[in-house]
Amino acid sequence: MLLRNILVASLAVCVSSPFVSAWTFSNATLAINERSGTLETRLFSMSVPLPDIMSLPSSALARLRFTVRSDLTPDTNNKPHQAYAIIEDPVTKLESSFAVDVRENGRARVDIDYKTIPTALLGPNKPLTMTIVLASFGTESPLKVEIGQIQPVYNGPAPAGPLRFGPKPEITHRFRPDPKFVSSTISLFFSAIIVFVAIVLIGNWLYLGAMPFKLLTALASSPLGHLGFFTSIVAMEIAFFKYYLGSTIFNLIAQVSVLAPIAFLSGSRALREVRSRRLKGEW
Amino acid sequence: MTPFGPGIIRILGFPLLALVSIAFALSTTGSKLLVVLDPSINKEDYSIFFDDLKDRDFALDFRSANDPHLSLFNYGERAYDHVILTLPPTQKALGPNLLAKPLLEFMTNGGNLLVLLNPNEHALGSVREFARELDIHLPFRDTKLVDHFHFDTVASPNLHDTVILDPATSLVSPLILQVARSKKIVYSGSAFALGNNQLLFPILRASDTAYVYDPAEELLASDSPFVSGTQAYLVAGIQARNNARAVIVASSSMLSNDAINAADSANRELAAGITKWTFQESAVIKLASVTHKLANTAEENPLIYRVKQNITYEAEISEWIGDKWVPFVADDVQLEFTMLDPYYRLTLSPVGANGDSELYATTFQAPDQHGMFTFHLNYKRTGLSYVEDKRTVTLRHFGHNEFLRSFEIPNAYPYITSVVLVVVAWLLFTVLWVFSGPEKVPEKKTL
Repeated sequence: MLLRNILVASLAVCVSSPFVSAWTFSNATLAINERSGTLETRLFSMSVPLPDIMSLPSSALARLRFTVRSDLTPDTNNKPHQAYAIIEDPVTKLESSFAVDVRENGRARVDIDYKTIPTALLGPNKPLTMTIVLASFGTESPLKVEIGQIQPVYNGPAPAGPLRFGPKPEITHRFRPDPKFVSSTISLFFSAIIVFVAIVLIGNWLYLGAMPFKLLTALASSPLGHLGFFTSIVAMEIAFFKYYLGSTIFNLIAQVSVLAPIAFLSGSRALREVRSRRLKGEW
Repeated sequence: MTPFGPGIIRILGFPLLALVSIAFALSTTGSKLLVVLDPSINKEDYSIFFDDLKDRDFALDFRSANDPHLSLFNYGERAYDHVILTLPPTQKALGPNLLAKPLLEFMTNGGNLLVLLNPNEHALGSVREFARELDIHLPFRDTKLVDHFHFDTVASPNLHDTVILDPATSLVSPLILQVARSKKIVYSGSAFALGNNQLLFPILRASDTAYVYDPAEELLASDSPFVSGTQAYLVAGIQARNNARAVIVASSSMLSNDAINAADSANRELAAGITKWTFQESAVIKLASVTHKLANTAEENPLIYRVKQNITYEAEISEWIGDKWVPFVADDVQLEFTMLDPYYRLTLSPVGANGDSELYATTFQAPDQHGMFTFHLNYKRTGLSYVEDKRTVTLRHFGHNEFLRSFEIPNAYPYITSVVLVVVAWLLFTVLWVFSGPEKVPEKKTL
């Protein structure tokens, strides 16, 4: 146990490097094939990746062909246990791997069909990196090399991702717009027209001879009646005006219930005095 | 509102988690831990793991998988707060009280579960069914995870099935579960695939050159791996909506003494992190209180508001840090003010600490639509406890005396002047009418 622990003291991690790897590939081509034929073909190698981003239309597939060789056992076994072509989105780090079919003589082929690319990797303007991984059991050092970039053509909106917890966009309620009012000037202009009409009306009354000629004689003969009546109706108007400004209906009723009998009684006295003047011909 | 049962209360906060390895930490759910041991597993091989659990004050109860008296429930209540389940090689050896349904009921009752799959035989039907309920897809029997790029050259120089993982790339949520970056994680076993359920909390995944193969079928070449690359998960958990947690570890050997004692191994720290998350000692938050009121007033939580009033909403959130609740600060807590659809979705800003919780507040103007509105605080983040609170209030119309008065509306000036002028003219008319008469009385002519 203890010895084993000492032996395990260094956990070696193998790092792949294309130049010292025991697995190599050569004669590598990438062809974009459609039903109608090959659209384009490019060569690449372990040290020279594809120069531009290959575009993969939605009805096409990318056919990779290369020849695999194992430096340690070139004559007996050129077939690694793990031969994958991995496409990865460098932004989200999501990847999908395609198993490469390697024959005994080392010829390898893999088709990356547009239809088999997971939708999570598709999107507008999302080039995917392509990597070839060749590795096997035993002590041969493995190979992992990026060979270029491919952009599956996708014209729609970016596909919706899966539901995940997280903050959602903020929403603020938009209120209905406040009611708009006309400007005070226009309003006052119309009020002025009304005031003008009222002045014309009262002016006409005065022009027609309406004047309180009997004011003093009437007050002298029935002061309580006339004074009481007029103060009570002015007080009623004031009570209603205060109700308009905000006193409660109960206040108004209280005030009216006091003022109404006063107005009634004093009013009848005032009218009695008017009748006496009428009978005398002075009204 | 808190779903936690009785138990000693302690907290573990995430900034401290990276530093705490065997620290004093208690679970918010309780301390009764059942360990179901498969008889083929030697308890001594996991002595460090179980001793670490005992140090954290768990009362461990070791039972065998085929113990006929073992039951997770006692008169309808759960008999344990947490369960560590190791699996025997055959389905028969797992008693009827540990099938998928009792395990799910245990979780529904608030219990936490840690399932350790057998490194070779991870194919028990009941466990597969249980995992499928969690949207976790377990591998087939005898499959192995291999990585030809990162493997233990001493333990498996040719078969490459003891895999070395780098915490920097393999830990999926380092904010919640972290180990020292300079160490490595040793793993030997298989790996499973996860679905897209948002309740899942993946913890540890394989590196991008790893893959799972079946030695019986794919001896010459791996042409259809069960799962490969970073889609292969080794440890993943789920937190149910009642905050019960379950974690599946794809190989129990990761927690064994051998793996822990390997040089530079972070497995002990990782085991502590996994058990702390699973048993509700870390990443646990709760809503301490919620109040809403009219802005700048004192009365709390009234039942009725009026349209277009300014409303202040305050929430307090605490976090468990090993032994007490402390303020939990985050910048993405959101409040929704909803009637069928959210009229507002506002970010609550952290105002300051208030005792053992952090106060979050926001003020907004009630919408101009009357109705029954809900204050919906829904804070669910992967790995943290779920916090959700709904309060319903009435939003009434304007009262008849809450509108603008007519004299405040310029449009009304002509009408007001008319009314006033009518009153004035009428009074004037009464005066003129009552006191009218000939200016001079005509003299009576005498004959």
